[in-house]
Amino acid sequence: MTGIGRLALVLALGSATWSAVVGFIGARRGLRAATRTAEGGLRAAAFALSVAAFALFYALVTRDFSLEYVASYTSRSLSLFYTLGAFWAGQAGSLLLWAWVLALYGAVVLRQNRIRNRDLMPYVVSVIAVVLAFFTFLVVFLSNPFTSSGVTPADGAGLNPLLQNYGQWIHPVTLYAGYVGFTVPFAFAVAALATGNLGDVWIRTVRKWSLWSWLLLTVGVMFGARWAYVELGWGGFWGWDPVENASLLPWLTGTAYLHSVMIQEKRGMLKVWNVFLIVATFALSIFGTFLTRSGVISSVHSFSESSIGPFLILAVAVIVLGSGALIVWRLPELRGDDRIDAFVSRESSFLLNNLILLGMAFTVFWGTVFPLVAEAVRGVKVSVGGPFFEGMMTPLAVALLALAGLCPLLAWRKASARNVRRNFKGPAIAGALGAVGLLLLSRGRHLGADVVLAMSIFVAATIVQEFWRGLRARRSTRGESWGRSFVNLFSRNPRRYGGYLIHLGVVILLTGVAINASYKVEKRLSAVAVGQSAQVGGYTVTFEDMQTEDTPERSTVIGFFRIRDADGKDLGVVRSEKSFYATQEQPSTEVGIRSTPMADIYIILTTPDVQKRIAAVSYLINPGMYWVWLGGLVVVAGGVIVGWPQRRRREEPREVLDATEELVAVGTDA
Amino acid sequence: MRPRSSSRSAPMRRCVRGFTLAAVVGGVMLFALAPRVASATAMYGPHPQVGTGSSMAPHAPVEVPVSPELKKVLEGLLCQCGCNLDAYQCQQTMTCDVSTAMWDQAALMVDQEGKTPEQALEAFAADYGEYVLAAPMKRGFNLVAWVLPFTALGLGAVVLAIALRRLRPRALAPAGDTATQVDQRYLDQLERELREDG
Repeated sequence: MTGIGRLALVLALGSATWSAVVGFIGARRGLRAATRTAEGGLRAAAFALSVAAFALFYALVTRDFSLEYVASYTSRSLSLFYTLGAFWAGQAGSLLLWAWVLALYGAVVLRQNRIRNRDLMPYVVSVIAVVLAFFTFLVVFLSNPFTSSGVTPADGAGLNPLLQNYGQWIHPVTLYAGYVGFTVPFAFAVAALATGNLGDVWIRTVRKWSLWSWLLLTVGVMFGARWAYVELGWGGFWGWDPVENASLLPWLTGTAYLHSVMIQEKRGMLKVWNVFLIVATFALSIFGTFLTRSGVISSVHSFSESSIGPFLILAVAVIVLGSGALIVWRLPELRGDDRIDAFVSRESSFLLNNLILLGMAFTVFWGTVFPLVAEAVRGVKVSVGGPFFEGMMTPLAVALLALAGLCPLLAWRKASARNVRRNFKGPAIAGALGAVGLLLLSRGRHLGADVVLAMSIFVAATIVQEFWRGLRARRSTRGESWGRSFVNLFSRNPRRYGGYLIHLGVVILLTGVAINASYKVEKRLSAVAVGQSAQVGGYTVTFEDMQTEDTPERSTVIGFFRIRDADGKDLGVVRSEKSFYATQEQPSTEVGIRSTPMADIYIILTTPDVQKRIAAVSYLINPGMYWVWLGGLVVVAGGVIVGWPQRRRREEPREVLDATEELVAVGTDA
Repeated sequence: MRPRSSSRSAPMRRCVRGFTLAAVVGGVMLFALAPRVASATAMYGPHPQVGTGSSMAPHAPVEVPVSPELKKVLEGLLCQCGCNLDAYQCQQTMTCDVSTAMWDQAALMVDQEGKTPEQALEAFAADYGEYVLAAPMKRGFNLVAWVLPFTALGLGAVVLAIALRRLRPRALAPAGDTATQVDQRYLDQLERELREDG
């Protein structure tokens, strides 16, 4: 199978290159036959990469240690679950995954556009094929998973303990799927620029691609945070590591695009801006891969460093310069009938939302690359970590939260004074009452959290109000029951109400973050003997037992902790582990977590002494974490509703939906 | 009769009483402090590592004192072991020798020398180089790191304001009330539906 894998990779590179070249010639000269050939090449590359991927899976499962990659990331004792997940544990496999997913996406794009978008497709095929050829080139010549070990070892080195988490199957895969997905909107944007077909067609074609890519990126980011929380064991979930930042950058610009594209769809405006955002999002996806793979900035993801960095940064430069040149070339046509009828309108609020999202993206980008800039300018190494990002991003996040409440309530074109009064009265009162209540409760000791929570109440109230109006509108016009109306709100207008659900998820998530930042309680104990109890944040935690588990790979010390609440109610036993690997210098932590809506009880077994049955332990009471994960789930649920494929309903055409939507938005239903 | 030697033993008795008292006080102190001594020599973090101390278990869990000032310093320091966590976080999970030494040094500066967190961070930067700080100091070229994002945002806001002014037609066409337009669309919709149903 190894030989088949190698051959398949070479064939994939040949097919993708052929597709790129012939596709471009076909596009330039309008040769349909050439375009069809290019499409065939893309399909062939997808098939060849699928064969290569299966060959690698086979080599992993059969423990073919003659391959350097298999020997480096698996061992005989590694479970099948993690053995399969080792596919993307290292760089070579990750790059193969990149190329494979892109090739499959390409095949889907071809299938979707057999009849439509035939004017755009020659360039779309070319662009996808160029990107695919680039990544396949990296796989074949610089980081090939089928490289021979030379001498076949008896056993492999095993998988990095930090990667032995169920997140290994979700976080990297969804992140890559999101990164790669933005290639498709980028390809259509380039095709629109190249052909001059700059209308809404390409925008509508890539709507779902953009949304699903964004959604997969969201899932990847959330699972990355969850992984850090349960596996790294410092009690937090976001460390502003350069690679974490790299995943946030395209997410922020992608979010900006998903908002601004609505203005183009509704009003035909912001064509230049939307093309810019798509290009930026794709370029930042490649930049993220560069940060992860180059090791140019130190990161907790340093296990994935390599020498392909220069190629990736070159790719980013080509994308930015090439797309920039195309935009400048088409600028006169892109400048269209842009008109803002009023400062207070949904259009202008969306623009403000874009400004803040881009401001956040720039802050993250600047903070991430500043160590390189400082070293280049001053010759001095500096670090940019949590204190910088938290200080800079918090006010921007609060402003964005406020806009999440304001934007949906403003009418398109012009929000009249009546519209503003009607839509904001209730939520503003709710937010103000909430603020007073919170200030009284916290006695002003947690002002930052109070502001965020009051803002969250305001935004949540706007969302509830929108649902309430939608339900009433449906009931009065259709005579539906409450339950039926609720379901139909989502099924008939998934974009609008799914979008509200996403906003609600963000509100829940930020509420959790604010509570956690302000009300966290920690107790670090340098010595706890088995049998001893400690009070922390209203809970009593008893260190009940300590056991060891030894395997050929590792020796694990397991602490068992019983938790009781303030009333003495038994909340169960939590196990927290410390594993010492033969092949790793640093031990790995498996924290014990008892999660409740009020707070997580988070137990870190820091330094155990098995002989003395004593350990250094950290107890953390992490409030709000439940809401962070719940918020993430609600965001994803809302995204799935928005992105779910829809059949057009004959009895309720699009314009009718739009009319109902605006009817609800301007509040004329009462 | 008491033996004669008893009179000679008065100094001895005082001596014995003294030793007894010292032994009792010492014993009590040892008893009280033993867990701390044991833990201080046995456990993690700012203290020496496992397995070198007394085998006596503490009577109550021993808490590591972390003042808010000390925590601020530790959270402002990047551990140099390569973990890319701050010194406080590294102690929480990795407990490497580097962050242990940093903890000890920070505790000395803050708790004993009475330095403010800012002074302690300055001292660390002088010892290890600026790279040890989790965020760049707000002076010199580093100010660019702090100022540029908000400057860019401000410029963006100005550009947006200008764009909004330019994009806004000077004389608004009689667009009418949006609500009225929507009402009309809604009425059209109702009429269509009635026709279809009928």
